This record gives sequence, C-alpha cells and structure tokens, in this order.
Amino acid sequence: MYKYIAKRLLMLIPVIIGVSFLVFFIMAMAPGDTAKAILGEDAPVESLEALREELGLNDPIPVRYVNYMKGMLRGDLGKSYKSGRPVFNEIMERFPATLELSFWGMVFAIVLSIPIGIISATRQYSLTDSVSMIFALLGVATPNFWLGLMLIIVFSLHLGWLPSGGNTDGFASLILPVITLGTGCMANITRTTRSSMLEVIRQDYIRTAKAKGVSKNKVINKHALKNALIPVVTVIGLQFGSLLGGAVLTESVFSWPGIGTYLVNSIKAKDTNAVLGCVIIFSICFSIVNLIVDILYAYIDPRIKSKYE
Amino acid sequence: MKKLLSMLLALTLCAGMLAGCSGSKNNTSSSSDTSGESKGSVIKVGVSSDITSLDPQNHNDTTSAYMTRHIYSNLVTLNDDNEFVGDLAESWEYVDDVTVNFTLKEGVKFHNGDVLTSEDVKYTLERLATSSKVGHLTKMIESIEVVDDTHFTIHMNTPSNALVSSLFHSGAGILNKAHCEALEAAGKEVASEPMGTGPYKFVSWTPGTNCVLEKFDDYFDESRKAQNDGIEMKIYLEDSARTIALETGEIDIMLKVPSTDAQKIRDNANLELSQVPSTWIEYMGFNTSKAPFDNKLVRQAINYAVDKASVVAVATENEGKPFDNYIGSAAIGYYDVVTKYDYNLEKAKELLKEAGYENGLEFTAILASDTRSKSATVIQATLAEIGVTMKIEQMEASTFYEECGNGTQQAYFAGWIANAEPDNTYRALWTTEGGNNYSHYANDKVLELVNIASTSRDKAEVDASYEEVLKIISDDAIWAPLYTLDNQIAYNKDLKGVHNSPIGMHNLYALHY
Repeated sequence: MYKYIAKRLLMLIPVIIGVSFLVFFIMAMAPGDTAKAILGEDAPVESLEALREELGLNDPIPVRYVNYMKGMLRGDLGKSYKSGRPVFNEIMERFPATLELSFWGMVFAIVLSIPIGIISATRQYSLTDSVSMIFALLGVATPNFWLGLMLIIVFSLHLGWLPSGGNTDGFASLILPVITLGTGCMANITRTTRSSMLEVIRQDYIRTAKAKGVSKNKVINKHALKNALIPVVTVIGLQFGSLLGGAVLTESVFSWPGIGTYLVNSIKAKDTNAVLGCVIIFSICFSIVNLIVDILYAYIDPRIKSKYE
Repeated sequence: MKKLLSMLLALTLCAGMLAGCSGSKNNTSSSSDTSGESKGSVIKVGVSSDITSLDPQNHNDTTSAYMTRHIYSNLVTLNDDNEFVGDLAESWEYVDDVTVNFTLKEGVKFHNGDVLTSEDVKYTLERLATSSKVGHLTKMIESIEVVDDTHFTIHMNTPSNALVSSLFHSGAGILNKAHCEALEAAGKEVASEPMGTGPYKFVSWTPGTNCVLEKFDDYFDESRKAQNDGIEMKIYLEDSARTIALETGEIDIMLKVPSTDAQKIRDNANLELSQVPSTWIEYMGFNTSKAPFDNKLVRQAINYAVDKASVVAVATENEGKPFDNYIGSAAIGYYDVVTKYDYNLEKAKELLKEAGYENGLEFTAILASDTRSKSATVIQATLAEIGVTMKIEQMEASTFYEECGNGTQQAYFAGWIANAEPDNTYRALWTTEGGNNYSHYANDKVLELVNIASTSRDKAEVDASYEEVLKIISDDAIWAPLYTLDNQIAYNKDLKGVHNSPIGMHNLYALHY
C-alpha cells in the first residue's frame, strides 16, 4: 500500500512538468501584450518597454521557460508580473479561503445528498423519489451566480440575516456561499447515489440477505450502501478536486477572496507566473484528492485493496 | 450509519442557526454604524478591484492609489479648482526653464515620528526613476540637489510643464528613506510595511478582502486631518454585490457606481448619489492610416451618422451624456472648441458620395467590452441606413490593444480617462510619439503644437496650442466621440464629508457621521 502511495506521489513530477510546459507555452503564444494588460490602456510606451525588460518578456520563449523551470527546481514559483510579489505567497494568502469554502460546500452536499439518494433509491418511483429527483435536476440546472444573487437578495437585503459577501464575519459569511456552491454538487451526488444504490439493491446477495430475514435498514446501511459507495466517492473526489481549483462564479458573487478569482484576474492580465503557480497547485491538489479517493476505495472494497499490494 | 447522519444533520442545522444569529448581530452593529450614532468610527468603503501593491512606485492603478494617497503625501496636490498647490512643499520657484527650487514645510512627521527632510524627497524621486510602472513620470528630472533639510533643487534635462503634475501622481508619494533602506536591508519589500506622512497609518491588507488604515494623529495639515477613526476598504468584484453591500449597510460608501444600479440608488431613501463631470470619455476611433478611414470625408460622414442619444440610452441606461469633445470636460486641457457633427444622415450620405462611396462601404470595428459592444450595435444600425456595413468583432482586451497598436484594425471602440497632465492625453493619443495613438494619426503641426504646450511657461500660449490641436483633430474627425460619464459615488445619506473628485482621486479623510 505504502509503495503504491509513494509511486503515485512520484507520478506528480511528470504531471507538474507536463502541466507547466503546456500552460507556459499556451500563455506565451496567446495573443495580447502582457505589459499592456498589466499597466492598462493609458500606459505610456516608456513604462511598457521598461516593464517588458524587467519581466524578461523580450527574451525568446524557450529561454523564459528554462528560467522559470530553474526557479521551480529551487521551489520558487517566481514573482507575479502584476504585483511583483512572490506567487507562492499570493496563492497561499488565498488558498485557505478556497479550501474552507470547498470543504464546507462538500460537507453540505454530502450530508444532504447521500440520505436523499438512498431514500430515492429505496422508494423508487414514489412521490419522495420524484420530488428528490426534481430537486436534483434543479440543482444541476441552476446557475451558481443566479442562485447566489437570489440568496443574497433574500437573506441579506430583505431579511438582513446574513452578510452579502466577504469572509470577515466568521461562519455567518460562509452560509450563503456554501449553499450556493453545495447545491450543484449535492445534485450530482444525489443522482449518483440513487443510481448506484438502485444497481446494488437488485443484486442477488441483497435478495439473499432479505430472505434471511435481515431488517430493511440493516440491508440498506450495512450490505447495500458500502458497495454502492464506490461511484459516489469517485464523484465526490472529482467535485472536491474541481472546487479546489476555485469556484470562480461563487467567489465573485460573494466577494470571497479565493484562488478562483485570482486565477481569472491573472489570466486577464497575462500574468504567466501567477497562472502557472495556480495551475501547478491545482494539479497537486487534484492528484492528491484522487489519491485519497483511490485509498478510500481500498477501505470500502477489500478486493481493490488487494490490487494495491 | 443512520444515527451518524442524523447527528451530522442536526449539527449542521445548529451551526447554521448559530451562524445566522451571529450574522444578524453583525448586521445590526453595522446598521448602528451607519445610523449616525458612532461619530468618528471606521468608515467602510466598497471598491471594485483589489490593490496591486502598497508601494506607491509599484502600481499604476486607481484602487491602489485610493490607499497609497492616504498613507503617503506628495510634494504637491490638486485643489478643486484644478490648480496645483503645495502639499509637503511650502512653495516652489522656477529659477529658469530647467531649474526649480523647492521649499518643504517644516516639522512634517512620518508615521514613525521621523521628521521629513529633503533627503527623503531625493531618495523617493531617485527610486521612482527606476520603477518600471511609474518611472516614466519623472523622466524630465536630471538630478535632485539637496540644499538643506527643507530646501532642494530639481534640475531638468529639458523644459517640461509635466514636472509639477508628475509630482502629484500617486507614484510620487514621498517615502521615508531610513525606513525603506532598513526594509530593503532586511530583504523585505517596501509594500510590506507602507509608511508615509499621510493622514492615515497602515494597519493591514488581506488580499482579496480588505485594507485597513487608521487615523494618524500627528498629521501635519490640521485642515485635512482625518475626521474618522480609520478607513476599511472592502473589495467587491461583482457590481451587484457592491450595491447590495451598500444597501444592507455593510459598507458606508461605494466609489464606483455601476450604471445599471444608479437609478436604484437614487430611488433608495437611505442612500445618496453624488455625481460630478469626469474626465472619462468613450469614442469610436478610426485608423487614419488605413482605407477607408484614410479619407477625411469618410470619417466625417461616419461622425454625422452616429446617433449619440441612442448610444447613451442603450449603452449607459441614460447615465451618460452625449459628447462632442476629445477630452473630458473636467480635465485640465479641456477647451470647448471642437467641430461638432450633429446627427444628420443626409449630410453623411452627401459626404460619402463626395468621397466616392455612393454605393456604400464595408468595414470592421474591433472592441473589447460588453458596454462598447452595445454602443457599436446602435451605430451599426444607423450606419446601415446610409449603406455602410459595419462588422463588429469583440475580442479579449490584450488582443484588442495589440491590434490597435499594430494598426491592423480599421475602426475601434475605446475610452479614455485623462489624468492631471494634459500632455499624457494630447501627446499619447494624437501624436506620432504617443503610445496610445491607435488612430495612427500623423500630423506634424499637432506634434509641434503639443511640444510648445508641454514646454511653454506662458499660459496663454499653452491654452492656444491645445485649443488649436483640438480644432485640427476634430476637423480631421479622427474619432467619433460618443459620450461622457459622470463620476458617481453612492453613500449612506447620513455620511458627511463626501468628496467626489473629477479625476477620481477621492479624499476619504473628511468622511464622518
């Protein structure tokens, strides 16, 4: 098992090199002038030229890439073109906010969606099932920014219960963005739980368990759920991984100081170092979340564990 | 499992309720802040973008300048009559065209108690010259000669009227030499511990969230001393979120009002909307080096075919004002002398015929924003009536500027906010030396006039030169000016001391309840 984990962690190295290579060249080849994107449309020629020189933008692209990778080998993600501050510091100032929002968004989604998915599956085609599935569909179909604005209008503007944005009011600041972010994930997890459960409860061993007189709750919770969890854990892992990449719309609507808005602003400013830094951190997070999901498989299904040995 | 899930659900609900209560409390306290009970409290200011840097020489953006202008002081400042007056400088005097003697105010203190001296000014301006962001401002400075603690001389390499306005730029905020050198020696950035002689001391900056300043009790100018305990600048990237934050009392004032929300704010009895003419204009530009716009008659024809009132209605929800000039009405360097082209399709058709395009013509206009796309769509419709087909191509901003700079475009939609130095508009936009001359307009006479205006110390000659430039370019119709937008600030009706600067450099020190 440890060998497997070590192997997976080592796989991160080619992933990072590949990702950095791709992103660097896409950013370098993209049309547009970095200096102008940073200094604005009214920037004088002298400033633009001085900035290009300072940032090394006049060097050939391969030279810039080699310089960047040299820095990365020393653990230096470079300085943001825009602010001149170390990219690593800028990311780390924002990453906790993104992690906090993603974590609570997932907790909100999991706590609600798994029970709803189970109930839907065990009472297939009942009114409860139909209502749950309608909500799940609505959750998938509702755009985040719209839901966010509606929640702000109702709970901040009219009722005055919760702050409309920012993360300076403690847990109260989290509630609306968490609901907004969690709703879309919740819908996906509910649907997956339901379909996976439906598949499992039709298996022979469930019928056998029922025939042996095991109570319905025990059959569902002990025998069916564990086997139905593999696809659910996969979906949760994928969703969490992508949330860590920043929920741009939710962050924008709620003025949440996360990494998503930072990345979008960096792309607009053609701030290659900042974009690369973000993408590398995302790749690492995504790979680690996937690894955790794979490890969880082993605990859920001992057959998978044996393959890791 | 069921038990566990039930417990988790109950826990989440409880947490939600508790948080709801705490949120409610918080909101109440915020409301009491805005109800006028807490005079001198911290004023919360909502802005639309994050700070780039708190080192005044490492940024060139308005949001960062809101903060650095209140932490640092400049040698000069601009009063409401658009005149430069002394800030840290007691006075200045031209010895000749390239030599200026400055006298500093005595006893001005930095936030750490150090007294300002000429050495700090020399250090600041020399460091400024090396900045890639704002170093161009003082390129006319040859050297700074310190006479004593409060007297110094600036030697210029060429006569330039831009010296004083450059010293007013936020990039020229005076730094504390000893403090900066100590920071640099310790391997720290100047931005990590910003410290100047301004009305506020730096407290904290949380990127993406807020920046907090507190009142500096030993500020040198009694008349401009902070009337509140401090400023908290809060960042709301989403326009509607910023407006809602004002409505709920989470912020006391917002410095940039989205056009779509202006009327809603006017209708709200608890809020006020202040608006003053600005230096901001929007225009449709023509590439004068490329067909068909290398023909003056075609440019004039398009000018006659633009229905500015409709553009304003569609693009700005009637918040803008149709505009004929090439520079904003609140700008230094504004003169009401331009050739005006009133909406007249018959006249437009005549000019097109005269230019040899009686069967119509086709061209492409590029742009990089949704608002400008709305303007373009309105103009596209009226141009169709005179047989002109305008294709609209919307692109990402950096690509747009690259195309404009290379001159590959035929026409384009852009905007301009003039700053306190007219040369930064006249030379940059309309001469061959300008980096923003996207019309690729080449006129030796204009360059000659701009050179006279930027170096002459005779105000009448400066005015006459700039007026002449405006007459020439408007007659040549290198743009079709569209509209201007007022500077709008929205705030709680009980808030006093609101300053709405035409150039967007709003002072926050007088804000109080």
